[in-house]
Amino acid sequence: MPLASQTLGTKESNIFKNLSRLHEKKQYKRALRDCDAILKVKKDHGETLAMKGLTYNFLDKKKEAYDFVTQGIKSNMMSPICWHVYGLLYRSDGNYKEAKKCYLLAMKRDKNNLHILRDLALLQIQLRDIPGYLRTRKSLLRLKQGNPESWYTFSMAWEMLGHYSEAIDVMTAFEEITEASEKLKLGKVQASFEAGERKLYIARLYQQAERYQDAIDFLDNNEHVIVDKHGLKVMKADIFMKMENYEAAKVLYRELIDTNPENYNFHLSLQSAYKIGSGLDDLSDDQVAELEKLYDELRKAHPRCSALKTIPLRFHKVGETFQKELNNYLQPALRKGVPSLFATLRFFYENSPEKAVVIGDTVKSYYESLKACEHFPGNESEELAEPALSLLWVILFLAQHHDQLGDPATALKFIDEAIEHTPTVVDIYSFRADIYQNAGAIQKAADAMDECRELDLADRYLNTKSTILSMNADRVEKAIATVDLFITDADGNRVSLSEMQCVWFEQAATESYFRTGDYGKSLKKALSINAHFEEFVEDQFDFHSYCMRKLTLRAYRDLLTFEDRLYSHKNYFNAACVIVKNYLELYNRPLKEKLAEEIRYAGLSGSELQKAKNKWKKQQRKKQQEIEKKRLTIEKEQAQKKKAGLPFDDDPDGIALEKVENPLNEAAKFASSLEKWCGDRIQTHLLSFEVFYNKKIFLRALRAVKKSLAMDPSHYLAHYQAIQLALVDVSEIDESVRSVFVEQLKSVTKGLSAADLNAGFSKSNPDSVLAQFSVARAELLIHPESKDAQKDKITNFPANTTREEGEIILPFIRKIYGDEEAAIFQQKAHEKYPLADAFQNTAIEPTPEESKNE
Amino acid sequence: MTAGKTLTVEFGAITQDNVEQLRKVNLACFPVQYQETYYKEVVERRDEGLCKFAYFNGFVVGAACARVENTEGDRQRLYIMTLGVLAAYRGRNIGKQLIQSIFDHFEENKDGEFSKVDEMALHVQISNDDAIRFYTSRFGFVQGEMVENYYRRIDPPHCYLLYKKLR
Repeated sequence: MPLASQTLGTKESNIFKNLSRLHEKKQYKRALRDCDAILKVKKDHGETLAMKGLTYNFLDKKKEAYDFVTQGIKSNMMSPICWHVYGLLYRSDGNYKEAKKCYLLAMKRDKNNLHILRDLALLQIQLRDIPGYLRTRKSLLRLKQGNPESWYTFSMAWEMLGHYSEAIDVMTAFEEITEASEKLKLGKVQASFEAGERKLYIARLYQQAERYQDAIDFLDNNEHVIVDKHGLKVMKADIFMKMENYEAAKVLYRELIDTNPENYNFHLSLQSAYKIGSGLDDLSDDQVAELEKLYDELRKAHPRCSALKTIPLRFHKVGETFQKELNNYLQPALRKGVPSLFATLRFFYENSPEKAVVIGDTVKSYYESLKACEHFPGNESEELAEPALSLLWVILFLAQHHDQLGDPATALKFIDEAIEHTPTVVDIYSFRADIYQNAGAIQKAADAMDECRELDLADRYLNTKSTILSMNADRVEKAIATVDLFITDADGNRVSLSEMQCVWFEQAATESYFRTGDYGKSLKKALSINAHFEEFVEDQFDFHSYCMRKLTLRAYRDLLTFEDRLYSHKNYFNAACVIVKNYLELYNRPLKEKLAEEIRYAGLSGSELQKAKNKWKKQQRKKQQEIEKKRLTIEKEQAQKKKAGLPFDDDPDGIALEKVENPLNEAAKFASSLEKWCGDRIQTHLLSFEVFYNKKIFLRALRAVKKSLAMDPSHYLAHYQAIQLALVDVSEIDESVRSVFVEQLKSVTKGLSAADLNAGFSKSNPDSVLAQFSVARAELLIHPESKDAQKDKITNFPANTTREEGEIILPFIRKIYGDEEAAIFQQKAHEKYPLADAFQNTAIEPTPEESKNE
Repeated sequence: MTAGKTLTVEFGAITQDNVEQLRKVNLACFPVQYQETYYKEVVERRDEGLCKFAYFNGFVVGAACARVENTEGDRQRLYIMTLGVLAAYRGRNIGKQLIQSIFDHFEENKDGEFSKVDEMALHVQISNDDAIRFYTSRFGFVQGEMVENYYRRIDPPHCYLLYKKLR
């Protein structure tokens, strides 16, 4: 029973009813005056107090907003409006959990309030509370049967719970109602975007329910209503494949290729319809002939399509036809000067080495022929000579060819020849940077790319690539100065890259800062990327209403799926890994500093020791003063910005982040997130191990190792981690989980001792450089006294060591056996990989930063 | 090298963004290194009629830079500062197209912008027979006086003035 103090007279009641309209028109001052007018008459009217609070919220006065709304609730707890408004406040602050609670309370007090139900539904779908969402949508449907949105969303809720039959029933019921009325009015069902989307959505439901024939029948019966003919074809073709009706699928894919012959997916699908796997290497002669006939037909229909030239290269075996097709593809492209030509053929270098050899030999023959007589082989009798530019592209192709085969020296010779020939072609220098990058010459790569960029300062791509390579070379200021050229407008205003969610830049920066030990700044950038992902989740909120207005049912559903899997994205993975690594380093830092201290004062004593300590203290004090000075300047700057109402940042260098109390806890949060979303990448589990092993949560560490070994039983690091676990002193483990750990450990160690496990791994991986290195390193754990005995094994540089493997092993040698041994290893590596920065005899320092104000 | 057929080129402006390509062309074609002031002047003048790249298939294969200079009295001349075609593209009439385009530009503007211009001129190292022949036999330039020690760092350091009366 509403309290007397909570009911309004007619006059006040009308004013109250008008408040929402004032909000819509943004007349907030007037709304406040009106609220006060009502409160003058009824000072404890809860709902008016709540509306007053809501008005303050629109004016961004949060404190007043919450104050008045809570007052309103105190005065009238039974009012659905009060709780609804409270929910709106929480929602506007992004606190969806609290908002949902308020809405549920509001709904209890007024089961049939459409506003409350709709807002609640939005929150439930945002929070993925699907059972709740289903209930709310059911209520909404009951109340608004005439609204198509009610039906679509109700059906979608069933579908998201996996109840496809119910979802289909809902849509079928709706169809009957709408189509009956339409047929009555117009005599038939009109083709329209909405009707088409509905039909395709229903067909998808049939597909998900694996009722394939029903799906096909439904689509056929309703084809005339569907406007998205292309989408219809793609859907039918996919359904036919699932039904294994390959003949029907072939026809459709053939038609689809005609609509877009460059779409490789259609070609792959067509091949599947011909029951040919994606390998294409082991085809029978009949299959090759069948495909050849098909592609000849396609080529007549689409003479300029480049996919139709490369795909036959995939299914023809090496021989005369293959050679002919190759010439047909390469020569016009070389003549035209297609920079991506090599990239389009990289597939063969990675999958068909035999064909890669033919490609290489072919282009070499072009080179010889062009140099000798300015013609491609076979064209010698032609009158018109091949333009000189063709030779340049042949030279560049050969440069990339040798780079791909791991021979940077020859590749660079070709680059030099290209520069001699036509030094104005930008791509030459870009490829040179790639070659240096692949050879591990990071500094040279940055130099080369910058030289490239200078040739065309208006080219955004070159600027971006140059920025990234500068970051890779740890030239952070140069990188920022470079990218600045494209993000500063004429008035000198810089676009904020983090506001633009520019992940490529932030990722390159965070990795650079990590490499140079600047953990605060590295965390700052990586956490910024993390924040972007949180925004991506937030941002979907508006689409729940928007997509229903626009009736893009399938796209909306796909958006929800995308958001569900968001954190599996590579960008998040890369950022989260750096975050975990940063926190691990911060955790290890005190220990590292202690070790460094021991080395610093080794062999000193008495007054010498005191002198050294004083000197060090003085240096550190000076360093701290400089940092403090810088921090004060930044603080001042940011305070000014804050005052001026500009976006500001309390801690731009992440100093507070570096000082975090418990870095391992922070690391654990992200490790868990990685395990949840990026569990299919081995790096997740390798990192996770480090976190939980250090935290002494050995069961979780064990779980990580098990996952790693399941993915790659020969992984060198996973093996080392297994040994670490095998050597754990079980008395350190909590009694409650000790037996579980011991039991679980057996599945990894197979009951063997650490030594035997190590020996077994060595035997199973005799040729793997990293495996043998890992075995030797593990031996040091098992028998620490064997350091000298293991030295030869660890510092060994087998002939088949790759550059990456060498770069992994070198720091360990330095740490365990010191600089002299490291130098010996480095020399051997340098002989094999003379370009790699990591193995240069003199330390490669990044080129001194150029002053910004040159 | 087989006698070339003409490779038709297109022309394009030399700007702040692509001037580095002009440096590459000059470095490849000439024994002298030009000062920054030269490049600065070319970019600032932004005169596509007198300073231009020659593009083949979208890539720079040559460049020509000329300017208007004051001569005696109130008169002027068109002075060719550099004309270069990358080695691999020579013998294809690209140099000819570049010079012709400057002549054409003069014709189009001889009563306007170039009303005081009487002749075209350039300096050529005395040992550069190819260049001398190019200008004299193809375009009717006249070999003028020798200027001694025109160049500082190359040998021979002398050059000829080549000129052609335009009116």
